[in-house]
Amino acid sequence: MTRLAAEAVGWAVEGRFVLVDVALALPAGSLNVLTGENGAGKSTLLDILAGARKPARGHVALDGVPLAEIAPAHLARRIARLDHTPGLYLELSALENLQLFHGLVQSPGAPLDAAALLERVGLAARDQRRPVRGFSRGMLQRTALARVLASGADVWLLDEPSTGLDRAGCALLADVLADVRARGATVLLATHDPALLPLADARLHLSHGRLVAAEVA
Amino acid sequence: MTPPPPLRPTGFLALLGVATALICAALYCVAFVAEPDAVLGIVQKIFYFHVASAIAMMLCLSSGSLLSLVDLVAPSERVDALARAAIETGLIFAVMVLTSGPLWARKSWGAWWTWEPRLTLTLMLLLLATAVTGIRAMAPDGTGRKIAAALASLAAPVAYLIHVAVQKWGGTHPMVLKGGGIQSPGMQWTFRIALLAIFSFAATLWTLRYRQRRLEQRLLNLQLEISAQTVRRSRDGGLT
Amino acid sequence: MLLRLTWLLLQKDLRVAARSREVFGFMLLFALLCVVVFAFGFLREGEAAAAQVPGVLWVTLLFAGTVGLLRLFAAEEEGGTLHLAQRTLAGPHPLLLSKSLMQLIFSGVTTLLLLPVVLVFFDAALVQPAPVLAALALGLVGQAVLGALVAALLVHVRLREVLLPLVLYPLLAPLLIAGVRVTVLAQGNAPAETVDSWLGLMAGYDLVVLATAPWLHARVVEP
Repeated sequence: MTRLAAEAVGWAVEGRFVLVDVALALPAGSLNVLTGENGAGKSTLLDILAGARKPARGHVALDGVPLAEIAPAHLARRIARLDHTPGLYLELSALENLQLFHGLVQSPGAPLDAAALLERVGLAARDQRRPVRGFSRGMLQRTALARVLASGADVWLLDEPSTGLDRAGCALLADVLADVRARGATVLLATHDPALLPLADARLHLSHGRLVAAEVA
Repeated sequence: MTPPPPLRPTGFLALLGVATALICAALYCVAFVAEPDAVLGIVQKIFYFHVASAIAMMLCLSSGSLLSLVDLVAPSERVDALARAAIETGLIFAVMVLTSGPLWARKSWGAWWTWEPRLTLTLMLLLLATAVTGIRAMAPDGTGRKIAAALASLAAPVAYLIHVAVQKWGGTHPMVLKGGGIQSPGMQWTFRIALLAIFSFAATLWTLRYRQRRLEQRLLNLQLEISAQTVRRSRDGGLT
Repeated sequence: MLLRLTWLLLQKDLRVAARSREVFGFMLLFALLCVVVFAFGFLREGEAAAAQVPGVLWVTLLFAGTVGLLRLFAAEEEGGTLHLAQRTLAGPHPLLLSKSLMQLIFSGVTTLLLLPVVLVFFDAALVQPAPVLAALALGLVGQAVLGALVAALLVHVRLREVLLPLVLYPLLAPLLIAGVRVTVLAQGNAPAETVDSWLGLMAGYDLVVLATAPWLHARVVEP
């Protein structure tokens, strides 16, 4: 079953197309890697797939429904996006951040074991309670990963998720990703990290504004 | 892709002709038909273009605001072009009002500037419209259109409130004189012709700017199409 | 739900503000500085200082409010959380509402602290305090909601620090004019109906802004 599909998606900046005729279909419960040289439009494509940008041409559909027709509130619950910013309030602690974002998209009373999630990404109990401003890049990235986990979304769009992570962090990331895939989530990650490539069910390559090769690893 | 039908300049040229003829006629009437005002003398003749410009400004800016709202509700490149052209034309007439206003004020009230309610409103509108127009240039790709449209649609009701406020406020100044009424038939005819002349001039500018925007949009679409073709070709060439 | 999410975001803003200790103190300091500068600029020997109070008070609040508005979305920009805060269960409305309330809290507290200072510095008394307080409340609500809207619209715009006042001040003109008039009238024994008509204008302004701002905000932030 195709969970997230893009059809003839195009994106232009200042009169020049960055993405042209991009088509993809991501099945439910799959882990896909998106590669491409710097400036190929990977982040833009992830933005479009997440519904954060409206494509200049074509459309994206979630479970066969065009994103434009899905209520943004519903979209926020289904699709999680991790970009080059951590997406965290720096003055809040990791726990507070998780609780806040969970509260914003989930109905009241939805269970959240924020401490366990943070434990899962390797954040010690004392680090969970201090403002994330003091965190290193890797710790921020781990917390951001926990935020995505807490969102409960079943489509994950991750942009360079291994940035700043140490070797243990990368292994943890791979572990988490394999885990959510097993639970039926659809993952698309843009990455240059060769360590993450073997995980992929499919590999997509962006080149010259087009998705040129979609080979199964 | 089938090319869109060409934007012919016929309508614009016709408007230009009409506006030119009417402006010449209005200038003739102002100079030779309308009698000088009994109290204010020759300076009263600014009135014909000053008031007509003020009305044209209000019409342009309010339709610009309304069209911005339409573009916000149902986005369309055509409406966007119309709205921008309206606001920019309104700006030009605001400048005309603010140039002729002080000339009038100097002679009739003895000061270059008075905080007369209508002049104050015009100044506020000029500042607001300039800021809204400036935002488009500063916003990242494409987002400026929505931001400018939102602020422009908000501007109309606020402008009405500014009008009410400066009216009440200016009402406390005793120096606002009633002057420059038009009494004779010659003056009335001159005013009507001046009104028509300024309106057709405004329509000409509006059409000119609108056409320019449309051509710009078409050029951009064409550029995009070429860019898409280039990308497709380089990909095909790269694979074989 | 709208209120619950607004409260969630407002709580977050208050917490961020308390921990960063950033905006509020500066806003108050800046307001005080404005008063001092205006005193240097406007006070003359032989003229009653009290006459300057309405203008000084309202322009100071306008300027100090701008300082708050320019930093209103700072935490979102820094952590890259803007798109997360916009996409809530209740859409983008809780964000605008919480930011308006945040601004209102800051400017409200600033006003309460500033008002006595201005009255003492300029040796003035309010003959009728009630209309002035009403005008301040109406003025601050309008400034907060409209300011939060403009700040939200300009978040990604270059030179927004310059553009925000350029757009905001003309839009706030009715409130400024009316607020100053009410304060002037309240210094004497003005007839109630004159004061009420100015307050009515301010209330009407607030209604227009409250009715349109959420819709405009939602319309612009949606992709």
